[in-house]
Amino acid sequence: MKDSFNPSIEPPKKTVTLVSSDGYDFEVEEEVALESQVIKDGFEDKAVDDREYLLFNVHSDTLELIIKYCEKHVSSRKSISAAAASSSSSNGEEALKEWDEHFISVDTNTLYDILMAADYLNIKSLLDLAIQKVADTIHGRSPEQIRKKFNIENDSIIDPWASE
Amino acid sequence: MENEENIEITMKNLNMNKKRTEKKVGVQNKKLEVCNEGVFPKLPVDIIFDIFSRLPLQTISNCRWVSKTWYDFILHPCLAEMHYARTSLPCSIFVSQYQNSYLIDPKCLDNLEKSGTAYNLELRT
Repeated sequence: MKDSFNPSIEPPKKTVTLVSSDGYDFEVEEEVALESQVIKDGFEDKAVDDREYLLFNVHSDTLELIIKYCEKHVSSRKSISAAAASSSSSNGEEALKEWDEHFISVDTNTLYDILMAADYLNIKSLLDLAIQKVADTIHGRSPEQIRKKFNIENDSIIDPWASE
Repeated sequence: MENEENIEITMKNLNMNKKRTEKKVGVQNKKLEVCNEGVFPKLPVDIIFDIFSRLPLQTISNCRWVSKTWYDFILHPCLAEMHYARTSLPCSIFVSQYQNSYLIDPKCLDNLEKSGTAYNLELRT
């Protein structure tokens, strides 16, 4: 057995450390971190052994979700392009859409945290997903239902249609 | 409902796998507090406009009555501009005598004799 010739052994992946606002370290693969445009922008200028990012605005609970999202999207992209290269049919994009839908079905406060983090880290696809989710939540609801959903106080604007 | 439960379970699993090393000094150990007014007003303005600009005019019009803050956002000319730029539906623009432009939902022109309600948004000229 010559392990060194085993093609299944991959070189160790490069990693980046992300530190949440409450001080927890998350070690993620480089390509996962690069989903964030903010990290990508200054990435090459940073020394390889200094790839640690302090994310002052992102709580660890939210960062976990964000990393989960980025990991899923990186791996899905790979499998979609692999399927395209071998010209085998795949429903990868459909499956990813479904996964996104499931991922973003969270309570309002979590949705808000995801929105803010996606905006801060500039992850365009996630920001788009979260904004669309808020829009879908508003759509088809009455002002009263919206107030309840987003915990908004009714501050004296008179709804002319309320009595109808 | 089921979806929400599932996500919660996944979050719990993640918590267990999470590698947490507490070493930073002087970090905020608090999650963003949610105040009584809800989270919505804390969103950046461009995100709020983005959210509204994805909705049909009729929905936006209803949203005016949610709160004073929402009323101000919805009647802001920036929203009409964003909405007009984004919408793929045919859309009418009405220019008033004061040279203000309004977006008009084409649906309300279909049954004009039945209902006079125009869901309009002011467009900056």
